[in-house]
Amino acid sequence: MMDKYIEKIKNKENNIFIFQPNAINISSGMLNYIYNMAYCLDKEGYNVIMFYEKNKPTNRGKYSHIELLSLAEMQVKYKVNASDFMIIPELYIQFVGELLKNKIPCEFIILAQTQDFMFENMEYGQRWDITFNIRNVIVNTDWYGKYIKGYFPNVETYTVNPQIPEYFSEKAKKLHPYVAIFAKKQRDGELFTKKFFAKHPHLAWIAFKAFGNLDRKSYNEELNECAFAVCLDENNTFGTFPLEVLSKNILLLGQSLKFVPDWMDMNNIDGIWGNDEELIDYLEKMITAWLYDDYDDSQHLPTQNYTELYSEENFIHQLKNAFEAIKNNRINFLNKIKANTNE
Amino acid sequence: MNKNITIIIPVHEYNDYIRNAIKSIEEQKNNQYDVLIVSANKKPLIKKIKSITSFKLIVKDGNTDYVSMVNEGVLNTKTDYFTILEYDDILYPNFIDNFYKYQKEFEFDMALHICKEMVLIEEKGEVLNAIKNEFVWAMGRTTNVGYWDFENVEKSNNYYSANAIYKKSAYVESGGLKSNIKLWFNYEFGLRFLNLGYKIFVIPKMMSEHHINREGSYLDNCSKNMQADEQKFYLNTAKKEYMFTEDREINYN
Repeated sequence: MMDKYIEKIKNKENNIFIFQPNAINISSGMLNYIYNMAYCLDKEGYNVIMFYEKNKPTNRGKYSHIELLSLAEMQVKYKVNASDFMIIPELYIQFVGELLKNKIPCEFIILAQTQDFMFENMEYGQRWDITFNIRNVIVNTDWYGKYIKGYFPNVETYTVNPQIPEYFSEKAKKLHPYVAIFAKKQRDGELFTKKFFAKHPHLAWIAFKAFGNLDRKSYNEELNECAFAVCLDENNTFGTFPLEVLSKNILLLGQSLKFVPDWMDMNNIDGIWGNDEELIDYLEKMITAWLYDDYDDSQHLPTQNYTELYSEENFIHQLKNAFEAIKNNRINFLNKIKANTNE
Repeated sequence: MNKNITIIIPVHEYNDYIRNAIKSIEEQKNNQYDVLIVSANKKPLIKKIKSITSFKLIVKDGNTDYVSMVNEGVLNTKTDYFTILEYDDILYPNFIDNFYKYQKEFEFDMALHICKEMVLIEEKGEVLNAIKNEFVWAMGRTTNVGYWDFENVEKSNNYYSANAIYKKSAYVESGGLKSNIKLWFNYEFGLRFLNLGYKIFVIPKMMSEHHINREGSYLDNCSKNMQADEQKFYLNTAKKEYMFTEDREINYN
């Protein structure tokens, strides 16, 4: 039996189930990362099945050819076995617990994108490696991988950086008096805007634009119209929004981060970072300079080409490597069981 | 790049302010423009203007009210667009540059911009009174963000066209400014222009400075010499006359 599972893994005949979270719980960048992973694994010849718990996702665009089932439909259609992999975002760790209780025999892989979510749904004393038997974790940045290993040294982490699509290298024209705003919590964005208008009422006509549910291409087009961007997420782990904004040569004002992302060169920091109050005043100064054309773009151009650094090729390359390693781990594990049970 | 805009400066009397206006043109970052000074036919005035600038000058006989001077200038322009610079105003160095930049990306028959309105206060000198035209960029204030709409202009009278840029063909087709309307003529033109379906866009940049209470200016004279009910008469006239493209005789009785 074990040989059959091992063969299936080697020949890519096993299934990879990917849990798609509810879009209201995570940012569009994070959701896109999951979709992209499904898309690239499918392109690499894996059998990919996406599934959701509640609320069927619509408007999946280029991902619509990937099978999407509800959890109930999936359980009816597929008999999950030991050769299969199931990828679950870290926010849904208790879901792994439920499946383990039901003796689902596949390998669970945690997809970890934000440190903020790591302990969000954990109960006191629970551990990924011990409680949930997690051995493999895919992370979006190296530092997050190290951070996770600091808590759970028994897991293996594999870095797959998100992709910043090439179209984000199209430079914004910066002709509209618009500020793109990204806030992890909607309330933070609203408070920032209220404070800005209260402190600088002469600029109350400047529009703040939040791009919640747009697909990436429409979002890119909307971003083209913005002259400034504000990022309010001190727990940002990778920083898709800052990198997209920087790639478009839009001036980025970001809330200081608790952790330094992999791409940030501390000797040559791209964007302007500070606390909310500092950002409110910086933004006023920058908008005023823009209004009078007294603002020198060249001082704020990014020091790195992020669409090149985080290209589709890089994403596929890292993803392939991660899966090869995960497959080998699983095969070794199944071989050990085989040896122990003298199968 | 070809020159596609003419700056028309109507001058009916001499004031040293004109030196600032001319300097502000000479300091433009982009020099792709023509200048046309329209002077009243007064020898000392013409001599004085010629002594401070070599920009092209034409002389207007007959009516030398502001609108007639502007229309004379329009007849003599060769570019697709023109702007009217009141001789006591100044353009910021980005004026011409931003006109070309925005004209490439946005469709308009007339472009306003964010304008600083300066007022003279005896003790303090010149101080900022307001910035103008910015609110069309605030979300939900107009039907089409960045553009004036008829309802808004008609309701609020808040139409501010100092140093506006006009597409010459649209200006001519729509009838241009009317000299029979002595006050609120810009407002009447705006209503008419929008009613005819032309587009008025606001370039969201600070591009000029306008002085509102200069002693001896046209509006200063109007406010001193016209009774309140006469001023109101012209506002009501503007609201009626915008439906006609021709400059009809006004019954002042």
